[in-house]
Amino acid sequence: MSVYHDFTHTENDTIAAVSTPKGTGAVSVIRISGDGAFNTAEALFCPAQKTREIKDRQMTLGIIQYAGEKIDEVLLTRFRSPGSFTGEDMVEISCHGGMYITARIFELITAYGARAAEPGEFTKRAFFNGKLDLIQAQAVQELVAAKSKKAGEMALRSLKGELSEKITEIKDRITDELARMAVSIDYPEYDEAEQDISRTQSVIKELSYNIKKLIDTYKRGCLYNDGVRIAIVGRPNVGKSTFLNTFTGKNRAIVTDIPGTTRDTIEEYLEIEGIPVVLTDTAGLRDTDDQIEKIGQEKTIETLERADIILLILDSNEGYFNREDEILRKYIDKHIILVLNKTDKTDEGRLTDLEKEIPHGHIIRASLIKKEGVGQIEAVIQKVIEDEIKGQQEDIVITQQTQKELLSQADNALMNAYKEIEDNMPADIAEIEIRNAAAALGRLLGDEIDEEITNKIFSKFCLGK
Amino acid sequence: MSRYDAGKFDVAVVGAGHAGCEAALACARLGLETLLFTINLDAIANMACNPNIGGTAKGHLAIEVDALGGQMGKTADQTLIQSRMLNLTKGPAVHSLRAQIDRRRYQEQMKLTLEKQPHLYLKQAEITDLIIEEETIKGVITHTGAVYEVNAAILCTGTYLKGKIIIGDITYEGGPDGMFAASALGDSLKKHGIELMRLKTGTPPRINRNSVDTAVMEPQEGDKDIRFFSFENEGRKIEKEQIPCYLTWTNMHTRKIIEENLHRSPLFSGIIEGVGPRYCPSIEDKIVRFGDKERHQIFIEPMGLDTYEMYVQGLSSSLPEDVQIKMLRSIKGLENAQMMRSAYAIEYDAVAPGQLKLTLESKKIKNLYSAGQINGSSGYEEAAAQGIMAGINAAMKITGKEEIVIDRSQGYIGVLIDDIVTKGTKEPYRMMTSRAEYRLTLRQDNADHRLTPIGYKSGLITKERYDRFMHKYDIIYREIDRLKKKTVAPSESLRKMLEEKGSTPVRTGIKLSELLKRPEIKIGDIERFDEEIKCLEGYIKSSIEINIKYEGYIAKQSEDIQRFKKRERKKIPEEIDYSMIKGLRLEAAAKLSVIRPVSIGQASRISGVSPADITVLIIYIDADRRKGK
Repeated sequence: MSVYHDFTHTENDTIAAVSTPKGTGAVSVIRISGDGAFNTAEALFCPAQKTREIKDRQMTLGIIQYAGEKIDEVLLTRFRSPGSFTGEDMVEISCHGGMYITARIFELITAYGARAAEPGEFTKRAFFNGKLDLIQAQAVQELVAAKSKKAGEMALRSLKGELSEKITEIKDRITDELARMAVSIDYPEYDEAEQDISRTQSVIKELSYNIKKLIDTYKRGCLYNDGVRIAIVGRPNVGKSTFLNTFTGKNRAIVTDIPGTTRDTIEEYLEIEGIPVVLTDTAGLRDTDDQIEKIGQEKTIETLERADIILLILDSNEGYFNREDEILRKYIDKHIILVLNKTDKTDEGRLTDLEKEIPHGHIIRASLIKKEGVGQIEAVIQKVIEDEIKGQQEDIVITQQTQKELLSQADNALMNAYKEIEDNMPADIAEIEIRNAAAALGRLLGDEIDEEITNKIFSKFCLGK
Repeated sequence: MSRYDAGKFDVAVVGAGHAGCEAALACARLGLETLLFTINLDAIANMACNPNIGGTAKGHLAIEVDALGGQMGKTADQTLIQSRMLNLTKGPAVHSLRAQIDRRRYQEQMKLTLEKQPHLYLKQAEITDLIIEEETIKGVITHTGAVYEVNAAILCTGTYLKGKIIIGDITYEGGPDGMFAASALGDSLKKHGIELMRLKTGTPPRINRNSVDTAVMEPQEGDKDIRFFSFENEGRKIEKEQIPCYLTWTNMHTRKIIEENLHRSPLFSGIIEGVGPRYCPSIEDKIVRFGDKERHQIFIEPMGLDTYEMYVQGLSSSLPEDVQIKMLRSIKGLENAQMMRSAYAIEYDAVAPGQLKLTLESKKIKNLYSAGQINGSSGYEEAAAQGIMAGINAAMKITGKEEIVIDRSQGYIGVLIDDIVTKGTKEPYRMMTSRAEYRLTLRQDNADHRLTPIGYKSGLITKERYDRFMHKYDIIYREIDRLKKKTVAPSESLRKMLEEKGSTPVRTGIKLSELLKRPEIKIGDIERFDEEIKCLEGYIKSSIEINIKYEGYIAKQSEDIQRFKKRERKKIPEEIDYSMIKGLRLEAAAKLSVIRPVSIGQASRISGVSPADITVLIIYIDADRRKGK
């Protein structure tokens, strides 16, 4: 029943990894390997010259795009099996080294049929396809051997106590359900065996919800890998770009006096407390008929949704409006830093009135043009990040791609089972998916599911001659 | 003891229970001169416990044995007195045929089959010793001193090996159902280095129908249409009177009797050392472990047409006889029950796990096979399944042909043998559908499809039967193909049918196969739109229906099976030395050295061997192979 990752090399399923070190180098290389490598890459890649065919072992310039959105201009190289590092069909994509862009492309690749490679998996495949010589091969063997000694414990240790308890609890409830189904199937003549499929269905629904909640923690869990996203938002000309420029010390956003200059989102990357930080400047908040600006407004919403911290800037001369109020209320769960800008041009009475009017605890006064208040804002951001780090150590969060993947597998299986029951499919069809869900969680925990179900059948139910 | 030379044969089968009969018949039918020994000729194919064959997962096994060319299904079909298809509402994979059997007639028919079988020599004798030279079985010796020279032997000793009967504080040496135990053979096996373990099982009392008030119990009738295990009886229609079983319950009074006498149970006093099966708990065990249950089901099953003896399912016990009688009489309808045979527990020797190959041959002694309870299983069907495989493989081995291993994706037989051999068992192993991971593929209806080609290749399935089998699937595939192409136009009768079934109406034409894919539509519902289906046999229709309705699920499972097969095909060299593999954890190396799996797939199923160990192993084998080049 259990499908071991370690066998996947015999299956040539498609894997992908960012093979350049993490950070903000000039270029990142993403590698894809496996039977579906070409299909995955070509689903996302659009050559610059439409007529040009992609040739093996030749770089092709083009765009990675998704749903009409151009993500990045990249160079793509295709290696046909067996003439590649792994010996399988491979694609290498060189994209611009931004963390966000790399992550986005990688995310799309995994959405299009590849899965995240395990550490050393490319090498392992190369080995199995005879692409490494014997000495290299022995080195790999020793590496894996050394790793395997602790692999079991490590897999468990990486699941923090509480998280592992939580997953165990979910898994136990799934195997309870499976034992119940098994009893109903294997002992149909016993009154123990009465099984209520709608009960199973509602349990599945609840567990799927719980798993989803765990999956949602992944974003927080990978703070160290993916960083913190800060969205800068406010009406046109309140000083968003000024802040961005001051804060990053760079001069990337265009600063003018014409409202709506920053039409697209602009990103800057920095590091605070060892955590990568993505600052995104958004188009100004306002209603507009301008087509381009409308797109900008949609992007603003998207940026807000993805943000961990929202920096909401107000022009203290203009005041506090509905749009700002909406944001404060809608994103109440996120960290919101409210900045009253241009205080140098506003009298104290007005400022105090504004502070009373705004339903937000922490308001920072600033004059960004004079670089006043920037330090204070930075301090708050720093505090939030520190809290996040602390929270991550205490909270139940998942931190590894593999954990997320197995949880998603479990969730998908449960959702399939739910639908099958909904469609009146017989119990033994739904059972297959429920068992897949248990197996996925079992792999995460290193548990033998089948044995567990058998044990439950006999310990929980009174059966037999 | 004086000995004499009793001649030279190909195979000796020791024990004529459900495993031994299949093993001996397989060997003889494959043309080998085969001896079949039993301590008592009147105990051949005895159902020492419940008088039925089949049921969940066990029905699958019985049908698979038939698909390979075995006997159990045919004899059961001949002698059944009630037939039921269980789990009809729970999905196609778990439909399970169960038949109540006339126990005596089953024995007679099986004995007659054995007697009529050319190349088969049936002997009443106890085998007391084995002749083993150069780690190979060379002969068997009977208690009367006959020495038979053989090329292979198959041990099917059931619960006879060092059998010990326990009833309360009374214990004595004995086999099942009042037979003698076989003690000398156990010593012989030990002497030859076979490690044995002690297992326990039990059986409930038998009572006289005259003393049972069935009127106050719930009758359990058979299905209107009798269905059969054997392919050869598929679609056969017979009119036959069926005998009902009866359902009653224990009550608080029964419970009180048991509780008051618990101290007299050998289980609680420690007389019993053997490990009993959890799925076959004694009534006292149930009462203790499930204290909150006020009543337990008791099924009263007829033992045959020509007897008043009835089997009391649910009342397995090793309590003293006087307590058994009190307990019986506390049950509704059994107030006057006359106990004919008392319940007993039986302890016996079995081969400890880790000593068998997947072919059921001993790792230690060449050409020595074993099947049934001696391998740690429980149940007639489990025994028969191993019996036929051990028989086929012994025959293949001594005729220099390739042995046959049925894998987990091919049959419950494969699941059963792999579980016993690879995982090992510490309690008597019962087959359950939940043990089969590719259950949707391992259905009763396609057992022939999965296994008859293997039976044909081995020589147990005749050309005539094979041709009929091919013809059956020609029809099925042709019809599936046709239903996928044939469109039915929207009509008043179609609209009405869909409405009746609560199914979404159609505006344009729809393929018959698409209609059939809807969970609420059965093949019977579309018959009126297609003359040709109407003319087909019921079992053919049902096969077509399952194949179309669950096509997507079956296809998905078939992908899993392909992955599984890849791992099974990755072979581990026989001479591999696990202690030499760097990075393998000690526990894993030790387990692997004992089990000696033939493939990476098998290795991965050994408990205590982690995925990381498997990776290390794969790399080692690969690197080793390349070094050899």
